[in-house]
Amino acid sequence: MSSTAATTIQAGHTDQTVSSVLINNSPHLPMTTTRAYSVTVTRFVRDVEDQVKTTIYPGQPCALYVANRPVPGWFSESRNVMLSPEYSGQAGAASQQLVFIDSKILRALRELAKEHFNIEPGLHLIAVYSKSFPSEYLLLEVNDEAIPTGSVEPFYFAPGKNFGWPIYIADVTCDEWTQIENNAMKLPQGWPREPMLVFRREEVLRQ
Amino acid sequence: MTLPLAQAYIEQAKADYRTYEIIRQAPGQPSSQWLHLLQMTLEKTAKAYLAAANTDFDKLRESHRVFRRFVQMLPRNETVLTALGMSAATLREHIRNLATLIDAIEQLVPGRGNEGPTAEYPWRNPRGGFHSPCTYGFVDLVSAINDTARGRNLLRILERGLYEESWHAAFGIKDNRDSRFIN
Repeated sequence: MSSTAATTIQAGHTDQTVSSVLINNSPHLPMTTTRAYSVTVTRFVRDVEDQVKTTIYPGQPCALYVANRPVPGWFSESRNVMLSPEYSGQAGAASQQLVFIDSKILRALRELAKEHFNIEPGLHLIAVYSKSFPSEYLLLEVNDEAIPTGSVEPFYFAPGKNFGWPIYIADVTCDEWTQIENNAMKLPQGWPREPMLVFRREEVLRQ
Repeated sequence: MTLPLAQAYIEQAKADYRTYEIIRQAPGQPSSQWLHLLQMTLEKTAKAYLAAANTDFDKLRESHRVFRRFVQMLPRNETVLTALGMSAATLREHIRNLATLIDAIEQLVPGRGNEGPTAEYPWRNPRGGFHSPCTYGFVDLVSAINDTARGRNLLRILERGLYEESWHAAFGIKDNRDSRFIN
């Protein structure tokens, strides 16, 4: 099965204009390098079933993030994303591997991740979960120096100069992260089971 | 009067710390007494910060080693770095140097696998008999707190955590008490 095709998006190119997106429905895309495209949406974009919790208006810059991991649970039912002037327009395509993120937020999250990787040498991976998109984020930071607790207990960070949105941060051990991925350890109530983004140390620090 | 959980914890931690200071300076008091209060202050302070992130009340009561987890977050918080006037790398190094001392204080709690010295209850001597905290010297720990830069730095960070309003705001412990919570 082919993985992803986007009608006007080319790998390695940024600042493109996208008016429609095509993607197949395979839930088993290979693990590849994370790709995030900076795009300007020319038409109204929203999830018709309101599951994506985001609306992007014409002219609004956003990032089109192509997930490099199994399909997030809240996308796995192949919901449609409308890329049309209005609701009545045709569906662009099934949206299994696409997450629309405001490019400002994506950039800020990446910068924050980079800062944390620089501060913490034992930090391998940061999984970002989103609640009430785009208002709050949970960062699970897989850290060699995490104290094993058997649960996820985050600390709240109020919006600041460097990152303007409320975030919750919890360190977890590698073993705990495996349990979270296997759903053997739960996230605090209200957070989706699947992360919106995953930043890996080598990838973020390479850029 | 009732308070939001985070504020309830921070107020109790402040009260514990005031008592700790009194007992520590009082002549003839066994070190176990003020060590116990210091351990409780660390725990309640850190739990106030966890509570500010909506941690469940019952879960919070069972949480352990919370102060170590709390201080590990500090280098990642820009408000903390500004308040301390330190780089993240410098603060992280300070925190790393405090780790063993914090562990030693947090382990003064009985149970949770601790069969040795506690500041609160007697414990079994493997060679027979029992130790009482009030007759046990805790010599190394007392010396580390009283006579080393690590001890002074730990208390400085603890006091910031207790009283620094910018830290409370940065971690969601609000100072403006919501009238809904006051009877």
